[in-house]
Amino acid sequence: MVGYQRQLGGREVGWARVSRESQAPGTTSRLYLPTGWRAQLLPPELSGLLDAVDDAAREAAWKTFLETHSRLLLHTARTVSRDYDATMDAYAYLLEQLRRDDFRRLRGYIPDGRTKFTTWLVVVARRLCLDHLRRRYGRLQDAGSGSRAAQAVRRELVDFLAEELDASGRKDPRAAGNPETDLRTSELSRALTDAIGALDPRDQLLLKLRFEDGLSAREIGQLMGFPTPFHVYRRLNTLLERLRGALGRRGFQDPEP
Amino acid sequence: MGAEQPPQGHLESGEVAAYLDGALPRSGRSRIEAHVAVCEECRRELIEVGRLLRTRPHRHRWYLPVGVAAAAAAVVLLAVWPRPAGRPAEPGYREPAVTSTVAPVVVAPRGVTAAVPRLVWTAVPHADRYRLAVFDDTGRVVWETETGDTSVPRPDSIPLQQGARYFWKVEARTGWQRWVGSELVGFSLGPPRP
Repeated sequence: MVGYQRQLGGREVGWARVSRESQAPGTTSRLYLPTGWRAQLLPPELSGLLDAVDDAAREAAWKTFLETHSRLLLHTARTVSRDYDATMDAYAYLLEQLRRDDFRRLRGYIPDGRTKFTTWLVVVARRLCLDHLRRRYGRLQDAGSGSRAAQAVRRELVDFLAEELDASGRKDPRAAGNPETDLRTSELSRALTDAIGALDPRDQLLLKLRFEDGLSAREIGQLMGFPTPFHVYRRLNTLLERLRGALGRRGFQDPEP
Repeated sequence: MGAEQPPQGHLESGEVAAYLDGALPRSGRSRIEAHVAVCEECRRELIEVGRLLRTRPHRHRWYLPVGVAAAAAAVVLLAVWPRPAGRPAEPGYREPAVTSTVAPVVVAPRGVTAAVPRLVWTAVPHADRYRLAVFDDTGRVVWETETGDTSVPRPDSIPLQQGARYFWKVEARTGWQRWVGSELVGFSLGPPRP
């Protein structure tokens, strides 16, 4: 979480945790805000809950909070659960965890003006639901994890570029199992890994979202902030040209004899 | 892209939310993108939460002038007013409305292709018409047409430059002013095969 370094009125009434990357070692930062800052910065259903003075007020505020956000929380639980029973279990667990220790998790929301409370709530809720799922069913085995995913990415990109370079002869059935072809493919894959590693992290992310995660251009655009899918395609085109150039400089540009 | 280790652990909830809300400065976005480019778990979280937010249920509030509300209430009352006994129910002439359908899928051309004689896509149930558009790399429409079939020949009057990148999509009409569209797919003309 990013904290504040500003001072308003010089009166200390609260403080926010600061991420380690944003402060010098050994220092602390405090957020100085005037009295009643919660009511001004937090959504009303949240400030009412966190500032409740007795049990009756707290229960009434919790009811209001659920009226406002239960559909979103249920939607989140539904998307990470396997069936109706698992959804309701996860939802119940989620509510229990949000209430726990005087709403400790909800108090973790920092109203810094950057992030919507609902977005933050979905992230927290999803993590809690996944925790619940793991406790009940064990850690999910993701088929695309680790090196297998990396191999899949390289394979798909190699296929995509090789189709244009005609470098591997893989469309020729006689080439299947040919040691020379296998060696060339392996060299191409290695060269591609090096070329991708030299790209900007944002471009590497774009390639991963497209070729590893299989996202559409529209979805990539929405996630990474491109104005339109056209911009995604254009950037992908540029990157692929760059990769072709890098592979060409390593000798991968002539068709197989 | 090997099995890299993500630097300094995973993203915090606030960072994921701030990235998805597009509220980070450039330096913050770059830092997070550098992390998720190598951390599959955090990248998966960004994707899934992004999808959750786009499909979230919304509460609709309807605001109507008093007169319109009164007229709507009158219509509802007339619709549910009990009919005299013995009067037979009206036969149904209309099919039920199509409320969900699959989108058409672009079949060809896709990727690099030696020629584009036709544009082909999959059929959509209940669709009676398809309209397609082909764009160049700048987003300019180079050709658009409508047809009742699931393929259409490319006319010679629409030239495509070799090596240039094009995009196209097709929409299927499933009802009155109701269209469902395919994804935007790119293609380019490669060198002719010997």
